[in-house]
Amino acid sequence: MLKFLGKRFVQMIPVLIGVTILTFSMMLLIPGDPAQIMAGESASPEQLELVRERLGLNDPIPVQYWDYLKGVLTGDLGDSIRSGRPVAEEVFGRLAPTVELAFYSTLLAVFIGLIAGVISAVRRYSVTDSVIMFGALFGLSMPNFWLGLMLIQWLVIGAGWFQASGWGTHQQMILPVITLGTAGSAIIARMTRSSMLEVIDMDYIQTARAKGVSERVVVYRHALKNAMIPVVTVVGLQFGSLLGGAVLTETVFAINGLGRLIINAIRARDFPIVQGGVLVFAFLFVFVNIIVDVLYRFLNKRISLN
Amino acid sequence: MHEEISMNTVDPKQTQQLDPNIVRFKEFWKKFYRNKSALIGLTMITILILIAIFAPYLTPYEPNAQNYDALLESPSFEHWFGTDHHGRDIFTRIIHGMGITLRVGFFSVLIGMTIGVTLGVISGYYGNWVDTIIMRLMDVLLAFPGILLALAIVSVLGGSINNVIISVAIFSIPVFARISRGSTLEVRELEYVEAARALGANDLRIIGGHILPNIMSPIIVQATLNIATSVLTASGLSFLGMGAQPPTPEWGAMLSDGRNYMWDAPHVATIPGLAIVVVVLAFNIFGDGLRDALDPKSKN
Amino acid sequence: MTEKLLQVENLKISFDTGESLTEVVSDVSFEISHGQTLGIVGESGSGKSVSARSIMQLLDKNAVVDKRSSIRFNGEEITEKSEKEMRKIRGKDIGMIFQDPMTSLNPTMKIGRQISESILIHEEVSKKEAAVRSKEIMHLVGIPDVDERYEQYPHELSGGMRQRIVIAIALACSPKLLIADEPTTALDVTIQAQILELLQEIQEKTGTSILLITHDFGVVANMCENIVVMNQGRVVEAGTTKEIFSHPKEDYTKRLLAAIPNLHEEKTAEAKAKLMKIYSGTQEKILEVNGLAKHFPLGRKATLKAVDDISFEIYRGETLGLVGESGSGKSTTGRAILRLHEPTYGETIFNGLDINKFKRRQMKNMRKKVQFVFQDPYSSLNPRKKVEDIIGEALDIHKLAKSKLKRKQRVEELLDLVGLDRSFSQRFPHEFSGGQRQRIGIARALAVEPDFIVLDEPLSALDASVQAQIVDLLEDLQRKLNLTYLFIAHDLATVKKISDRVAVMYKGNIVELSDSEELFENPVHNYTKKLLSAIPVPDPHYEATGGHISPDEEEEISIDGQKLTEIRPNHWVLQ
Repeated sequence: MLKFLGKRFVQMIPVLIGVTILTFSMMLLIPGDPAQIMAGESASPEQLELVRERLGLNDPIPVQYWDYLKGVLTGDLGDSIRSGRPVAEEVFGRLAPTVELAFYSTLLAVFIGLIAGVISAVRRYSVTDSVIMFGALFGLSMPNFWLGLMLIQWLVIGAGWFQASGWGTHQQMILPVITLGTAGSAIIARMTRSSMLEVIDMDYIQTARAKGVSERVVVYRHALKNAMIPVVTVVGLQFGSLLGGAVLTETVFAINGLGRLIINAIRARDFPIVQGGVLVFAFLFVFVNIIVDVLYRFLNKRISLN
Repeated sequence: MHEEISMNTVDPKQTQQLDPNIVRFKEFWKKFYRNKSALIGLTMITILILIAIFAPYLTPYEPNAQNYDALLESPSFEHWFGTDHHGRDIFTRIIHGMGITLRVGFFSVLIGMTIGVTLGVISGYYGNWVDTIIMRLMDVLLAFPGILLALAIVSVLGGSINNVIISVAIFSIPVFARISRGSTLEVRELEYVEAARALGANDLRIIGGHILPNIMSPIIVQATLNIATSVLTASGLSFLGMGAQPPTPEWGAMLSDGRNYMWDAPHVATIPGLAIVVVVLAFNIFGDGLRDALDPKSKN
Repeated sequence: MTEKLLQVENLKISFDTGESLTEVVSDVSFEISHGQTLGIVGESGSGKSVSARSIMQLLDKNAVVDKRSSIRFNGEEITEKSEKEMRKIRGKDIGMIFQDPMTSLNPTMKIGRQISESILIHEEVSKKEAAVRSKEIMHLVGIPDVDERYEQYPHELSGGMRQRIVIAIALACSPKLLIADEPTTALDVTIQAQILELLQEIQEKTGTSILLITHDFGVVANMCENIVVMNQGRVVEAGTTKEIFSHPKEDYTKRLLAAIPNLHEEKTAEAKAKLMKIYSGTQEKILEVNGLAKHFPLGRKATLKAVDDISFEIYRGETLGLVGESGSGKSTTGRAILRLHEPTYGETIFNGLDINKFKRRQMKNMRKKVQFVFQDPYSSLNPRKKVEDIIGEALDIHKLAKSKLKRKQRVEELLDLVGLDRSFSQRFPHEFSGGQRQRIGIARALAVEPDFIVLDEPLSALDASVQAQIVDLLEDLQRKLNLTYLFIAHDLATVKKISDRVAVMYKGNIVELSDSEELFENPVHNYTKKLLSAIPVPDPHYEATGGHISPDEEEEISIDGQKLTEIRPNHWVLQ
């Protein structure tokens, strides 16, 4: 298990390096002179030169990248232009709400998605199935920022049950979690259903029926476990992709998470923060994927042996 | 990162067994016609395209004409969808925004698909180090969760419709690369490809004549579903202020404007959102139907 | 009058396609007495499996059983029973064995539990007792190390062992009737022999009745007392096994029986003369394989030696049969010769030149001389091309047709040659049957006018009567065009008729090579003997004379460090 974990980390090193190259090149590609942006509009040529020297902008690009990589490895992501504080400090200070939001949303998505998917599969081609599947399709087709606004419209402005901004209390957390978790529920429900239906057609289900097993037992003892195998991966990946979705949800609900930090930084042209924030998001996502992989392997030890 | 991370993707297990019998359009159409949801989706999309084309003739207003006598009016006979904070007719803006939305959806997917399929087929066909490099590259792109990759690109390029198309296109490359690679790996092993090699066919002939035609079905299904995802992503970028700039009648941007008037005029935010839902739903329904119609296991 | 165990009368089943009803079984009647074995023989599409499943009421949802049909089991009418009542019969009174053991066991459930589940459903016993009973049954079906196996998952067992587990599940509650639906089709020939033997043994011990469904006359000959022959949903002929084998009444039955290869048939004078020319050294050598090997890397350290240092020669105009079970390396050998799999090392000398040293251009020219016919007629033709383009592609690649018209004419010539209608050229592959597709594949290979063709199990996906036609076609073409064949097959019976000489492969090596008569009459290597004894003998009288030697599945024949040596003139054995 640990060995496998280690192996996955090693395999991910090229990807992580690729990620740093991409975030590094963001700085090179932004229109205008980075030094000008850092030093401000009114900076004199001498001041600009000073900034350039300090940031190493006069070095050849590979040297600049090497310095950047060294910084990343030692936790030095530069300083924010606006606040002047270290980027690492700003970014990690905002991480908790984002991770919590993604985590609770995943829980919700799994809970609703699995139940809906199994019901749909068991009663396939019934009215219930059609309703659930259309609901899932609708859930998949809604922009989550719009869903968030609609929830605010009805349940905050209309009914006054919840709060529309911030993070911490139940009243603040429930709506963002629903907002972010809806698309996930839809994906998991669809996946569960199609996986169940695929398994139901397998030969071993016929073997079970030929034993005289009741349809209920066929579904819950023989089909469900086999159908869950592909679903597990999707569940894991949902957590990752919900991390990304948090950018929009945080903006709608004014949650001071990492996503909102990045958005505000883009608006303020505070590029070190954007660069650092994006990098941390990507690293986080890669690590979540590794963990999912390991869990998947652990849950399906028997299958992966094959 | 073995699986796609996009919102909705083709299940590779289903698509790689797409019906080999569907060779000619007639046979496909027969199955397609029987598939109700595909037909509904196609009808919806056709209507949406027509609306986009004939937008200027469908309403008496100009999308950017301001009218300070009619600010934030609720839907009425005169203004079907009401007016916004500049007194612009929302119905007109929605109709004119249709073209933008569809254009972003189509072109970003077209670009992303062309690059992605090329990379995927090369990767799957040649294998070895070519495969490793291309797929690692895709892993790097996939390492930026959800909308973040598109956001990062647009933050560098600057907000405009064309930049949104570019960033959403890059965002969808990995999905196509993975699907076409998977299908290529499968088709590559089939005996008719071996037969072509035994006859002395070169790589170009094998890829063009035998592999591409036989992996197109899952790619077309994915492209349809991806238009839906792209529309969502693009409108998300505009909602964040990173896409279309005012006064463009782009739905995400309109929605964002509407946020400020939620208390007094909720329709300003509600209606552009509904428009997005309708477009995305149309492509999702069509994509689902297409997949079922191309799936040999589905009988109806 | 004694009541029969099972009486099926006027069984009629249709499939609802959404638009219309398609009848797949029409007026089928048969019966089985207690302790008897009935074989239903038929080719694909005969409705034999659907009929069997209807006895269990396990048909697909779109299947409709006609109201006038009657299935009486143990004195009760099955067609009138509710789903709940049927569940009490399934697994308890009737057990069922399915075709493919790789997919008919639940991959996430322990083997023991899959067997005991059946006992726990039907009998009032404790879990402990069910476990004891399950282990007894596992023992009965010949599974070694029962306690250990009981806790394992299906993927930890071999195909043959899995099929024994499937049989154990069916037997768990000592059913009165066992339905075996093609129980050996997915297995290697040597394993097939063991499973059939096991079924016979079980019947002797438990006295259960067996309904055996198969496409293979060889299988029923010494398993069944009675036979029902089915074709296209109807019973063609029914009677005792001896009657049907010795005096078949219907043409269809006669054709099926004629398609069975006769292992003791003498070679024709023509074939003998050909062999003489080869042995006397007067026949030109067309291909010489020298120490050819193909290794596949398995992970970082291990390699799979699919083909391990083999050598043989093929002479112009002859057919060399290459026989082996799955994993023997026979198909890899065929592909390595054409460099469809790049050989790891070794020489393949064709017309005096080593083709493994060929550059691109030479290789392309070589492909005009050496061709390949594939196993699966369904995946070997590009579904998106017309027959004309499938065959014509060969002409395009080598620029063999000067004009569109010439191309069309040549394709039509080729269609004539393989016995297909010229009008087929405008159709797509899916419009054809397996046999027709295989003919298209042959036409494609012939388009470049090759001298030598590798045929990779070209018959294994086809029905028996179609197999015979393809063999005739191949022999005919060989004579007309002076072709040389390397004919790959998984059992000896198939190659007997068509081959001049036969090589037997085992674990990547050739273990025995001789002319087919010598090999069949005087096999020397243990593996050859095992393969020969595994051929089900399509002769109901054969059983009395002693039957099979019993091969043990776990037994491995060691071939390490051995060399192919000529023990008799022109008879080579690995030892």
